[in-house]
Amino acid sequence: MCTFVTRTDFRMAADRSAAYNPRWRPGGLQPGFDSAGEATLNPSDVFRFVIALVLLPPILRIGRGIRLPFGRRVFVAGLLLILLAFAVQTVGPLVPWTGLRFVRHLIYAAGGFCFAWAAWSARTHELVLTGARR
Amino acid sequence: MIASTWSVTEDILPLLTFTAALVAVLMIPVRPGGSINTAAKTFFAASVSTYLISTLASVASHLGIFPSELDPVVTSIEMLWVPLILFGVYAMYSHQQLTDSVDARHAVVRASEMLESVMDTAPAGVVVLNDVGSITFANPEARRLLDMEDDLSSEMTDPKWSVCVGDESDGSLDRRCDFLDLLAPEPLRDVSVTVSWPNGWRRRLAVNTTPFANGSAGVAGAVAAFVEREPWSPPVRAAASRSPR
Repeated sequence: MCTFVTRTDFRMAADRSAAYNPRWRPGGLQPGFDSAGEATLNPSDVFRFVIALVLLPPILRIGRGIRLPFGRRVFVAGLLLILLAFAVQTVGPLVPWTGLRFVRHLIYAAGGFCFAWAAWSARTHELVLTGARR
Repeated sequence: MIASTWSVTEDILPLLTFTAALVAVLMIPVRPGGSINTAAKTFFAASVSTYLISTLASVASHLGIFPSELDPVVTSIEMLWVPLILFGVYAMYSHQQLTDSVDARHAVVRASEMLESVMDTAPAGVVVLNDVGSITFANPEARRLLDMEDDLSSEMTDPKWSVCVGDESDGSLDRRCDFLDLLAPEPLRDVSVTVSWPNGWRRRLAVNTTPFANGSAGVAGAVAAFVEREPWSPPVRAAASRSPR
């Protein structure tokens, strides 16, 4: 699955990965490629990545003042992982490696795990404060 | 078909972790004065849900059951992910700040009430002096010892009595209508102060003071606590028509 391809084989790899892409429709253009088959960036992915990049500093700055013992670092780690996944998804069409999609899913999954951990930590913190759990 | 199956399998892992995150967020208890409020919880749940929706749409696309007309909708929902996180973090932060300020206000009120009850029940007179030695606060015992009415405003600015620091036996000490002589950079302990009234009443007080520091500008005031050093001295003049309280 994870195969490095040369620039010459890029079109072929793109055709092969088209089946993996949920946005691809039979007969339609592969996202990330123009009609000539050249790799292009997806504008919505770029916009989302830029938005995330711009909003990350205020999120971190505000988040510094939040009382969330231990869960805060995990939360920040999840944020950074999701940002990395956005970056991977944004530059994905320009990288001639079909395994990148799987890596992106792994990063998303790790980010989701971090968020689950942080949320569970917040829940435990609240339960300890209320005395329901020691 | 194999590729489609593999793609669905790829989507399963983030689907599971984000589902766990959503469940964990929804299980956070919201209580008054807690770390998180309903708004923050809603924003966090919504942000996690955006990726869940995206992943579910991806799985449905791989299985061929997702209408292509909804692609722009899913793309738009994905855009909301980070702003929703920001809203959630800000809602949580502002909620905690608000809770802290309310707690601080209650603590100040409790401390004030406790201090007031201490002042009311203290067997010693306690006065607060400003930077020119005038009284700005006096507890009930201080009012009794200084023979002041409950309405202090006039008597504090223009007292009937005069004060001198030290024993008045030789009569050579300077008399003042304020406690300016008690304002010293260092705390005073067991200082004799004589308070005299025009009708001849007189009280000798043992005074302790604690100054208020005012940075490099000197002393901004002081708290003075005092007790009567000896029993009430009888009036030296017949004009004294009433005994002190």
